[in-house]
Amino acid sequence: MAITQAMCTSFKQELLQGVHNFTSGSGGGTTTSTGSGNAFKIALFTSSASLGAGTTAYSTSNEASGTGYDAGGKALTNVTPTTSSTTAITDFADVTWGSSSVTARGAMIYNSSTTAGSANRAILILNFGADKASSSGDFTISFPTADSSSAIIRIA
Amino acid sequence: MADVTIAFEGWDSITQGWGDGTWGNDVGFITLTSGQGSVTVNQGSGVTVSVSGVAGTSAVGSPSVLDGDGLVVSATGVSAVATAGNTSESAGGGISVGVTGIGATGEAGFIFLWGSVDTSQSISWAAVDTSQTLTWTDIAA
Repeated sequence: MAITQAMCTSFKQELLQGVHNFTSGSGGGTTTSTGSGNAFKIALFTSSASLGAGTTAYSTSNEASGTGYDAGGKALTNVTPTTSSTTAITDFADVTWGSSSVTARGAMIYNSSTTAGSANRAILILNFGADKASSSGDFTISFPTADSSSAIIRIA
Repeated sequence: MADVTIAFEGWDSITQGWGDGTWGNDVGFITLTSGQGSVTVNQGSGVTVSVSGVAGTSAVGSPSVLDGDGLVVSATGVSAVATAGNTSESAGGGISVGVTGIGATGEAGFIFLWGSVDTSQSISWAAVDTSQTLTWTDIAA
């Protein structure tokens, strides 16, 4: 069992199929999302999870649990994709599980919209490097600077 | 049955024999020493260890924080704040995990271009000039 940080291979394929739309609110339409951005979530997983580039969809298997954490994870706030030089980037607002007691080794960002073909499709896998835990405190995921070299999702 | 008298102080009591100790002074009861071992917190669990002094010296051993937070030992006032990479953990039990982004490289593949052979070209050529003077130099042996 291992968690390997990666952009999911299925996500790359689905980008070419117009399955995902990271636009915040309306606009940036594709044929499948009818012009509105999709909803995305981030879910936490324990070290027992097996996640990586080959992961295709969200599953509750080995998802973290604890006070203040609900299965499925937290909704993310999209930041409309933009470009930095020749790199396309997108970002999310930091997310926090307040007053929680939870331990996680990694996370998955996935499409939580109900649109057929998009629902629960995996985007990327994050590896925290070690178990991280909160104890009756805030568990915050802090996303990197949204630029061409650090943004959470970059296509160069 | 004769009465039995147990003395708690003075000579020939339960704390001292006849002639033990100095005149006019009692020997105190045996004292108890209380101690507390090491405290290990494997993950931030917000442990608060309160130590009260009990007849003598009581101490908290060296707290070992393996990967945790929120450890407060009131006896010595230790507050641990751990930092690992982009992760900051606060003494209040909270944690902030800084994640790194993931990039993908998009490439456009090569394409082949071809067209039909142009059969409408005018053919032109020049005859070989046979009037040239041949010159050469022997190679040194």
